[in-house]
Parts: sequence; structure tokens; C-alpha cells
Amino acid sequence: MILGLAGNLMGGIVPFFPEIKAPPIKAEPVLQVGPVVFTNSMLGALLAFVILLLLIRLMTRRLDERPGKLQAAVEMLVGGLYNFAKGSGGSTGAALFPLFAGLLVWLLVNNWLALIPGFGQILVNGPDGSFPLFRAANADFNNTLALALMVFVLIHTFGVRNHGIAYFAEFVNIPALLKGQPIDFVVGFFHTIGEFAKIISLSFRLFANIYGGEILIAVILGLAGPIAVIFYGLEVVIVATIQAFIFGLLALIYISLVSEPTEHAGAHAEPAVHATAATEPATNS
Amino acid sequence: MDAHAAQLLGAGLAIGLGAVGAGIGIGNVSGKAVEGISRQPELKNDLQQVMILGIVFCETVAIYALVVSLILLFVAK
Repeated sequence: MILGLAGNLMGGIVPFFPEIKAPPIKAEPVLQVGPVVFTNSMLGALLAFVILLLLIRLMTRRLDERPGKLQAAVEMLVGGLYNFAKGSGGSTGAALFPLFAGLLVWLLVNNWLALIPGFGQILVNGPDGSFPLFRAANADFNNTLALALMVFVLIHTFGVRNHGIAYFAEFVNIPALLKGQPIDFVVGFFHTIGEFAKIISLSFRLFANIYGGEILIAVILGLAGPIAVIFYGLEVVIVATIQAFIFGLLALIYISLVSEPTEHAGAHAEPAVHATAATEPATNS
Repeated sequence: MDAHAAQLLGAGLAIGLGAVGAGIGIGNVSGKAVEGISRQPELKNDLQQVMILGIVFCETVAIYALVVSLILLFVAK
């Protein structure tokens, strides 16, 4: 209570533990610099950013020809991810590895950071009640929407780069209209809707899983206390990991789909596909 | 029944009924994947990758339902 009083007087940070309640769907604004409002989810993302920079510095500080234990572990991890990206991204998988791994690591640090006890317990007094100073960045829809929009722009940039202006014929199919195939023209509209549905499904998948995990923890804490949270906490950690992985994987796959050669080129490329499929079991065994 | 109660009911029904289809889909996908892996264990890695993708696309349907129920809860007046 003394802490609360002091916090009220200072309007500053109050580390105490109130009754647990589920986080609201909107992030709370913490401070304002000019026209830019910093919300608590932005602060959480900044913290994750700093931690990520420190981690990168730590892992690349002493690089050696003969790797030590830490370097060997990181190299094995990166190598595994690289092989995975190469395997699932087709011909462009290796080139897209930085995007895939970058998204994966960024989301993973964000999601795990939010699950560390004490992350959401630092409270700040606001105009209407106190609220946590940090919030999981991906529990704010703005953040996941920004990432999904970035992936959306990248998909179509790669599409235009690989197919030229003919790429848009998939959506506004004027060649089919000129050839007298109006059905194909109408199908183009559905393709367009499907493209925008990618934004919705990418952003809401991540947001809903992370935000849902926070609500789940709050509800279980209120219902059954801290012991029961251990069991559900495990599930929340697994979901946070898988969702970070899936976001990166889907970005990789969407982009590699539009980077494939066009249909008539694909017919020539088919023997090559069979050749790689035939050699794969040989390398595995 | 006032409007707010109908709104809450609609939100619950939207995600509840939406999750049914996605649950069936995810069950089918992972069940078939387990069958495939038990038949050919050496293909485990490939099958797992395809399984994860299949699960993700099934889950998308539930996410659309969730969007509707979130709109009903927080946006619709």
C-alpha cells in the first residue's frame, strides 16, 4: 500500500501485484513524444529488440575457425534452419533464408520474452487505473498487421520481379477476356480476394494465438491458482514457439510460390524435379 | 433478450461453431500423417512439414471465425 501511495504521488513505476485480470485488447499508451504515442506493446518490442541485439553481440563476439561450444550450437541451429528453408522453399528457398530466419528469431524472442514471469507485472499508474509497462508485442494487433503487410508487399514484389507485368494477369485477367473466356476473368477476382485474405489470416493467426495465451494464463490463474498454470504454461510456450515458426514458414512458402517459373517453363523444369526427388532418399540413407 | 446479450451469444457461437470444422480438419490431417509415418517412418520429416502446413490452413478457418467473434465483442455497437 505504501508502494501504491508512493506510485500515486510520483505517477511512476509501481512494482506490486494486484488481482490478475485479462489484458484489454488495445495496448495502453505510456508516453508521448511529439505526435508519436508509445504504447506498452511498443516498449515490449523495444525491449525484445535490445535483448536480441545483445544476444547477437554475445554469439558473434568470438568467432573462431575451430568453434567453441556456443558457436557450434548456434552454427548447428542456423545450419538446420538453412537446410529447412532450402528444402521447403523450392528453387528460391536458399535466397529467402534470411527473411525466414529473421522473422522466426524476432517473433521467437518477442513471444518468449512475454512469457517470462515479471514481464507484465511492472505496473504504471495511468489516468484510469494502473496498467503493465510492458506488453507482448504480438498481443497487439498493430504489430502483427504490420508484419503481415510487410510479407504481403514482399510477395507481390517478388511476383512482379519474376513474372514482369504478366503477373497481374492472374488477378485482372484481361488476356482471358480478350480470348473470350469470361470465367477465367471472374476467377481472377477470387484470386484477388484470396490475396487479401492472406493478410487477415497471417496477422490474426499470430495475434490471436499470443493474445489468447495471455487470456488463458490470466483465466487459469484466477480459477485455479499458480500451480495449475504450470501445465497450461507449457502449452502456451509450445504455441508461442510454433506460431513464430509458422509465420516465418508461411512467408517463405508464399514468396517461393510466386517465384516459381511460369507454367510453360514449368513443363520443361519437370524432369529436374523428378531428379531431385530421386536423389533425396539416396542422400538420406 | 437485449442487444448486448445477443452480441455476446453471437460471439460465443461464432467461434464455437467455427472451431468445430477446424478441429475436424486438424484431426483428419494429423491422423493421416500419423498413418503415413507409421507406414513409412523414413519419410517422417517430409510428412511432418506437410502436416504442419495442412494444420495451418485448417486453422485459418477458425481464425476467420475468431475475427468475427472479436468484431462482435469489441467493435460492433
